[in-house]
Amino acid sequence: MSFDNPAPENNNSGTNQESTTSTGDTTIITERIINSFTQNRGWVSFVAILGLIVAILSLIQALFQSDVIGIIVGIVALVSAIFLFTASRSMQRAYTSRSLDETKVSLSNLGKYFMLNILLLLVSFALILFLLIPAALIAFIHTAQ
Amino acid sequence: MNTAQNESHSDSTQQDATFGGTFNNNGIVQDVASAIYKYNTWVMLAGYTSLIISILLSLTIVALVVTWVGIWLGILLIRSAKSIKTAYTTGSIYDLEHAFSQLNLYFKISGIVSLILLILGLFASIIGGAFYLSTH
Repeated sequence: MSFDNPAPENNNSGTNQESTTSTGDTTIITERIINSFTQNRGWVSFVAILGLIVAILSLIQALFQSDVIGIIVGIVALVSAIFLFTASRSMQRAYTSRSLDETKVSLSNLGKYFMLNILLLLVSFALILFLLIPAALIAFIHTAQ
Repeated sequence: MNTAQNESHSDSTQQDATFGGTFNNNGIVQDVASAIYKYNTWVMLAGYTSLIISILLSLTIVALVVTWVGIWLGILLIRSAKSIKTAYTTGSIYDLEHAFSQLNLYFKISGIVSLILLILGLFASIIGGAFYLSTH
């Protein structure tokens, strides 16, 4: 019962049945994967749209205030939200077309979303340290005087 | 060569066994799992980060009410990453389904929390606006 050894055309009924069962198994597995993956596609879309709105608003605010750090963080947040939004769209397409390829595209985008989230956090930490350490030094020198 | 064939056969049998003993995964599970397995370290890291930050925040008792959600989300991501790794290495569809169910729950909780925060934010803005207008 494997696709590695496909049944020849002039085969007996037993092997044909085996081949049919393999195809059936593949269909069942595909259905199970797509069903379990796309179960909460609505919530993913909601979180993605909310993330997009928040990222765009924070980026606009940073642009108006000419806040360089805010702009950097806003751009990373926007790209991250775009990845989640793309993942949610692919998830929707996977649900309607029952396509494993769309599922894989969606999963890949989800992975990128998590990766950018961590990068966003690292950038934030780096910026905090970058601002905090000089501020602490200035405060220390000021109090020592 | 024979050893390699035996190992390959035993892998195939294991795959069959993980799917109720009668089904053949035919590498589909690994194929799907590989799409996110590339980023599995990041998913795991996101889970641990959420967990650690939430634990640190929960040290302030006031934030404890909110931070358990972050701890929960972190645990869900870690569980999902572990299941993806198992699904990728063994070809078990149950682990892949478990990983997806944890991811689904993660986004569901994130969505509900975002919705609650959005409603609270709107409510606070309305009350704040009304207070400002009444005092000025």
